[in-house]
Amino acid sequence: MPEPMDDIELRKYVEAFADGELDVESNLRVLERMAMSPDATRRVVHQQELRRMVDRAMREQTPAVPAALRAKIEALTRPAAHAERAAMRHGASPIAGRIGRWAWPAAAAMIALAAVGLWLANRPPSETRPRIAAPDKNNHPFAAPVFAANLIADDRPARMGRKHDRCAEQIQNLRGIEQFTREVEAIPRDVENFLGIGGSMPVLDLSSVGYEFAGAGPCGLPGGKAVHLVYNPIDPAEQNASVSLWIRADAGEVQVEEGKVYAANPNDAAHPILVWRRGNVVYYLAGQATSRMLDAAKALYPVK
Amino acid sequence: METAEFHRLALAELESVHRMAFHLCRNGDEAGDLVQETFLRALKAEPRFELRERGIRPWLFKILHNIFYTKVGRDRRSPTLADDLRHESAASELDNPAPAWDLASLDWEQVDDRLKRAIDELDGRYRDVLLLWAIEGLKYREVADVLDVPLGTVMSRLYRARSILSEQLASVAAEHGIKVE
Repeated sequence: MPEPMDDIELRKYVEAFADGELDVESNLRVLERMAMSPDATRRVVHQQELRRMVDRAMREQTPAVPAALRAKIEALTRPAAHAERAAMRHGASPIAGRIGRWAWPAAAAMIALAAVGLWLANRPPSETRPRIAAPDKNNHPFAAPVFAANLIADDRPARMGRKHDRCAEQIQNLRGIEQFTREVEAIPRDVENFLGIGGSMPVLDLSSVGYEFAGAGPCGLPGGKAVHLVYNPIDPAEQNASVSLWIRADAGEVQVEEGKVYAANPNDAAHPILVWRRGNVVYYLAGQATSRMLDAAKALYPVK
Repeated sequence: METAEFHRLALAELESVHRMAFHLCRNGDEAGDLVQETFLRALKAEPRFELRERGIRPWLFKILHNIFYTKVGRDRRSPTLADDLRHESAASELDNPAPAWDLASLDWEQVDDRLKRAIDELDGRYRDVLLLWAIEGLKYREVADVLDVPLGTVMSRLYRARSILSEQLASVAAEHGIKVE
């Protein structure tokens, strides 16, 4: 038997009734009260009228979509707009769009030409840099992480977690970010140069598992000389789901076996860290959800 | 879903997205930038979009609000505990019912002006809920999803927003000789 409504509760229910938000049982309860109270009936009419007024007043206040803006948005949905979209994604502000109708296409074309030129001039031999496809989940050595409690010394896992939070929230918190390219295709070369290692690093692209590269910077964590890379989720609805990747050169001091992935702190639900080795390079991946991070780790460890 | 169909659905919401952007930014140029950014991100996230009962609109609004509040800062999006307590306290002042009368008998132009002013002066959290609900026709649960707040919070904020507007318009009603109770 439902509890009787007090006046405040009734007013909230009347509003929800007026909005068509109540379930059948609650509707019946309000109708019952309305039959006894002319005031409740008046409030339903009032609320419905108020909604129409707000709608009307605010719609009138809103200007129509400017034709230039509409054209720009429509152009984004055409296949030919991919280069423009890519150019706008990589740091350019939409404010520039107001400069002129042809500014974006011209800029996109120039960027595309420059990018192609740079790529042709600098591309590594394809056989030395493994390309990343979507990871084959059924045939990958990283099936499940192996727990290794003392893989990262002292309080460094917590410090890595805090640094990940700061940089994921605001990429400019990544000190030295200007030393590294923002292009995901070119970042392995920068990392190799910084760490002074050979050119066998895979392409550090996580787009196949839903992340885009945000930036990289030099870092003293997890120890020694390392590079910290930050990736943000492509889906904007995934708030707080960024991941951080630390890469360091290693001469054998980190006790991880190639072909396995290790969990450095499985009890820390907020910031699990996965660790693996490829040759003389060790990778540390921090984020929020181990399952998604495992997908990312598989993508960064392409199986031949 | 086919890409062409996704584009068609998204473009059909351009007016709504622009309207919401305009009311959030209160500036035409900034609203245009926000709309562009919203569509760029939406098109990029297309493979992850799942068509639900209410279509693409709540999803686009969620993107729009995320971008907007990321730009204006986390402070505004995430009120402190003290803020919430203060607003809870303010809400308790509403133990007296807001006035109700026949709004249809008022002078529309005058009401519209007062109403616009009253909506503009609303606290941001009440305004957001009110606009999503009244203009864009979102259900309580969709508003909760867009703003990332509990359903009960949506109901409370909407109740508060409507009470404030009704109070504000009471003076217009009284000027017209309409009895306010």
